[in-house]
Amino acid sequence: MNPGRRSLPSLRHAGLRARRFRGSRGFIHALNGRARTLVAALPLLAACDDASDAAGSPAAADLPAVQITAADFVGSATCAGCHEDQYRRWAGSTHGRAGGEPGPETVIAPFDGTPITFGDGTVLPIVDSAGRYLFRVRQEGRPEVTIKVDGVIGGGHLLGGGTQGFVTRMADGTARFLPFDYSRQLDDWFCNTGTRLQRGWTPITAEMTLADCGDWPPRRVLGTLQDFSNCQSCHGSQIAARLEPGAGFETHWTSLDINCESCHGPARRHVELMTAADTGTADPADIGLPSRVADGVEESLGVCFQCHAVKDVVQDGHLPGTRFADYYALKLPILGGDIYLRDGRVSSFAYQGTHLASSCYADGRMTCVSCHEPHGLGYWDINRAPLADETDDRQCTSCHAAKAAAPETHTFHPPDSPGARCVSCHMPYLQHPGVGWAVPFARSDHTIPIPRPELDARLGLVSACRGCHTDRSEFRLQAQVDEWWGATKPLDPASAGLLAVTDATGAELAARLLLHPGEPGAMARFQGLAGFLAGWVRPGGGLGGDAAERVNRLAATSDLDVRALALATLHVADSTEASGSAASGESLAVRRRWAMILGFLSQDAMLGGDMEAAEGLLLRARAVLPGDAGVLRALGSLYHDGGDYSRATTAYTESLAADPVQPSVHVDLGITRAAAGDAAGAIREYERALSLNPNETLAYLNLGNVQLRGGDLASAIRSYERAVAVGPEFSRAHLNLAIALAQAGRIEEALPHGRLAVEYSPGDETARATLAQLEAESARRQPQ
Amino acid sequence: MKAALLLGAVAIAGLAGWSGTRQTPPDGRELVASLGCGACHAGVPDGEAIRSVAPPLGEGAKELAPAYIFHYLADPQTVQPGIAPARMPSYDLDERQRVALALFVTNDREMRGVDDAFRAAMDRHPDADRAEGKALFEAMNCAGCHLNSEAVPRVTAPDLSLTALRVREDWLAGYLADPVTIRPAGPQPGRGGKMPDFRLDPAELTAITGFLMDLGEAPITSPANAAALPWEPLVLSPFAMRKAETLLRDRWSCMGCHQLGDDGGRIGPRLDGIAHRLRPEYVRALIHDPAGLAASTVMPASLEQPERLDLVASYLLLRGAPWTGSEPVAGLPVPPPPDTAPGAATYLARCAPCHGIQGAGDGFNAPFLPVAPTSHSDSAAMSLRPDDTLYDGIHAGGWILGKSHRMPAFGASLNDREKRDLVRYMRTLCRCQGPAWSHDGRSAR
Repeated sequence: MNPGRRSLPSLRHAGLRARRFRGSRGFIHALNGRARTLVAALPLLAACDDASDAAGSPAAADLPAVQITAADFVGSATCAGCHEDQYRRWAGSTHGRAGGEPGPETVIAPFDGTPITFGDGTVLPIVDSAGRYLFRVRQEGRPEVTIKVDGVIGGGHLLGGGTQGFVTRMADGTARFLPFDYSRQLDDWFCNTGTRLQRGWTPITAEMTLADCGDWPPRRVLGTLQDFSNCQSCHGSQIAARLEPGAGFETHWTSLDINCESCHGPARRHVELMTAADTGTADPADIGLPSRVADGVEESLGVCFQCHAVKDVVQDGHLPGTRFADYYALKLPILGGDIYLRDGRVSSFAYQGTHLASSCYADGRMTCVSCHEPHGLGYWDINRAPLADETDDRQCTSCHAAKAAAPETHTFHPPDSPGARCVSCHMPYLQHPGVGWAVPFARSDHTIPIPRPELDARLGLVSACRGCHTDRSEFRLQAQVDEWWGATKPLDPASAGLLAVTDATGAELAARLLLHPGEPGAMARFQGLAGFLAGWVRPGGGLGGDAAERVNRLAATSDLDVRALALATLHVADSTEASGSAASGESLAVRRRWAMILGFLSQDAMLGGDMEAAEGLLLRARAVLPGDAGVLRALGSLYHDGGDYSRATTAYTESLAADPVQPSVHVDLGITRAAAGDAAGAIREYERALSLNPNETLAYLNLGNVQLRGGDLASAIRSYERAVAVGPEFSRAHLNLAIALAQAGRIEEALPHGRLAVEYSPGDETARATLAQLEAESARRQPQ
Repeated sequence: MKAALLLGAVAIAGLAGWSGTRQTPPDGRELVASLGCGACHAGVPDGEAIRSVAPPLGEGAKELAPAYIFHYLADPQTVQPGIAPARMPSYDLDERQRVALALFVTNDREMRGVDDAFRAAMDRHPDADRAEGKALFEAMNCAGCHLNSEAVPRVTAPDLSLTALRVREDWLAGYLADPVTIRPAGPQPGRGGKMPDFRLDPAELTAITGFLMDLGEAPITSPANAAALPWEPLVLSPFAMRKAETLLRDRWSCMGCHQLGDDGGRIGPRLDGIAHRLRPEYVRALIHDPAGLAASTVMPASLEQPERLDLVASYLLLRGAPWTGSEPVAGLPVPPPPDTAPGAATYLARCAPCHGIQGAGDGFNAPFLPVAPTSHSDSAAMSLRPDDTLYDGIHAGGWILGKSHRMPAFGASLNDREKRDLVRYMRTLCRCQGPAWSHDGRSAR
């Protein structure tokens, strides 16, 4: 649990950070950079004090009670021995061909030596004589870098835009994405500029620099790790990255396709039972694996939403076979920003989690496997009759039979035309705006909406009608819709309410518009409640009569996210910070969510400068999850920001007592000790951090800062050099190294690091000023 | 009492003459004809023969005293033993049923021949009236043998020409010797009715069993061919057995109608121990295509894939459970008079057992369902549901609507017209229409 930091790992794929939910009243997304980077003021150069860095985002984490380990998985080849038919279908599927070791079978990108040309260098994708797939990175004035491809991610299979990426194993034990991606539709290389240029995915051109690619140098790791942007576990099977205290990182995966056990869970025990002469189990029906046929709707969705949905991490350590809801919350990301439009459709980047906003799910029982045959990933109808392809109407009409009986009275399009296909109007392909518009990445709209041309346009979407009838105005299209279908099915009341409220709406009306405890759609219920909490609930401000009744009813719902948000709302509105007595009766899954929500709100208050409210919200979170390392760390951070180093020290110490394996909390504590004037104590904490994680960049950086402030320039330079060695993408380490080298009079050695600092953080004015000063000093020193 | 017995003897004197001691084995065909099996069952000679000898009842039975009927029905063959191969079988009626039937078939307001026992019975059941008797008369298909102006014979019991395809011979002999209830609410769900006990002697049992098992010469329709092909249940692991049970209990609709263990509906036969009663080929063929084997069945054809149907058929056949028959459902409502409104007959046959005759969600099977059936007469709730949603639920079942999975899918058993008629009929029950937005614009005009 980490209420101190929002975690939207899936978004990192697009290099996005979620934005506010609604205007100034909105929630905030994660605070990155809890650890500080201190540097002594220099007579020559501007100081960089207390600045944060996007890479410096250590997260507190519960050590989950993982009972399933990597050793429990056997790999798909083992399954093939008995389940030949399923294996064969899977092997030909997009899951079976989702990635793997580099080779002719997996790589679709051209590794033929044709250079990828940047303005400041070239990258050669080649296969060497040993059959290794390599990127040779050449930049003038810098040594050539050869990066070996150790894994291929994706096969460019998807219709709306298929891509392929590559990972390499690093010396520190991580596996990191390379910034050179390939689009099958464009037949071109592109990269994600998200963390620097904020232009989304962009085809690589000579107008770009290598560092315009946000993942250069490689920073995005496979698996979930503190300090790193990451892509969780979705680009392969059973990806698990962990810190081995004292040794470094370990990254494991069973394979880089999506294997059988990704859905079925770990099979080692199954294999043992099936091959044993005497299973020794009391239950003869126990085969060591659950039957998926017993899945309810949520369990079934949880299998696919391990990867196919944006989610917040409730607890680290998820592996297939564990209970989805214990590890992930599907709706909490709504609090962070504009992932979804107010009717649940994608506004940035959201995979197929929008299914949760569909009426087919909310009012029916539709799951992914209602249409998608899970082994071959072809299509079938609700009764499992195979279908030809993704346009087959029977995906829909096996339930919506009334429409099939006389389709022309519903479609109003010629029967064999594309316009008469159900999916043409109800599941149009929509580009996910979060990746930009330059690289195709459109996904079929799984909210399964009714085309409403005017509303769609108002929400910034290309309506299904408009997708074909590009020559007609939204007005004309809407008029045609009105003529053919008359009034259409109303939106979910909460969605309609979100579209209706304004900042001027009174609390009473807002409650009626946004709070709908009796409606079936949990996604809309959550969105409505989130809107109400963001706009009309103040800490300790209480709730009006109708709102209280509605929120109380929402707090009784079985949906964990809705329940937790409602409990948090009541808790926020309550005037007693330590209240939350209801927490004791709630499951850990609910309490974790509840505390996370309070943590998000606290960050919002902190960013808004209301430290008192922020503290009150975190104290509420502590009441919900007493002794939680993440809550305590967030409290420490808050007290540090407020200059209360004593209480910060206490909170950090308590956090470390709850979870001793938190190198970044040692860094935080070191920063607090340094700020309190205890340099020796600070150094001790950094050393403790490094004893846990020899690659803890922030520890080296802050150690260097203390050494620099203490006048030990040589040690500081060594620490900074170590920081850039283990974190070459870390611009602030380059900057501080440049400053230290400059202080030592080594201007020419400082210059490259100054340049890298600007290159990797082009928006950092301090870095720019520093570089300007370095260049001026260098010029001044040049012989005339 | 004596007078009543004499009157009865006069009425059925035409059948007298069979001594009860037989020199040659009885002929199965003649026996089936004489007993009037065809009065209820298809596939054997119809009930004309029995109707020619069984006394008409109702208007034609004024000479019968109600007290005589009351006593006679308690144990017909004790009261009137050894009269012929044809005989009045025992229906194992309770006292109230006998009072009601006696009042219906005699319609004797003067109550001739009333004795103390009958009077006491009437006192114990003051509400048992002629109407109740009429309903029973219809439910038991008494008119199959006894002509009656107020009741029409109905051939609703299983087609005996398929006996050899359907049942196991060893089970059949035992069943004929001691019939127990198979369908808890009768062959036409909700009407009651059951196989009576003819008290057949061993020779008769042998003769009838042999005759029925040889009836396989009868024309075989296509589905019956499937039932005739040898088939053994799949070999199922304990895991597969559990998977099949999960499908049955938690996903499919079978147990909306059928009882398995203590759970499930009371419309169709109990599924426990069917391997003792039915041949595996028949179980499989029936699950694949119920109407192909039994045209009048209300059991819908499944939309599921054949291999999963075979899995469940095998599970039912392999499941270790004794065959016990079923407990009859008591207190069945009186079926309404025939309604010619489109959809009415389908609703009565397919929907009313759970949703109630008037659609109030109170059908006789409702107490046996884990989720209360939707009330189709609830105007407020039904006004929120589009016609298409009702249609889709009829077609694809309750699961897809997020409602009870025990509501079956009738999509493969009803055609488009029948489904639309059902929706229209449901609208008459709720006296409402679907929401305005659910009607297409131009198409609705």
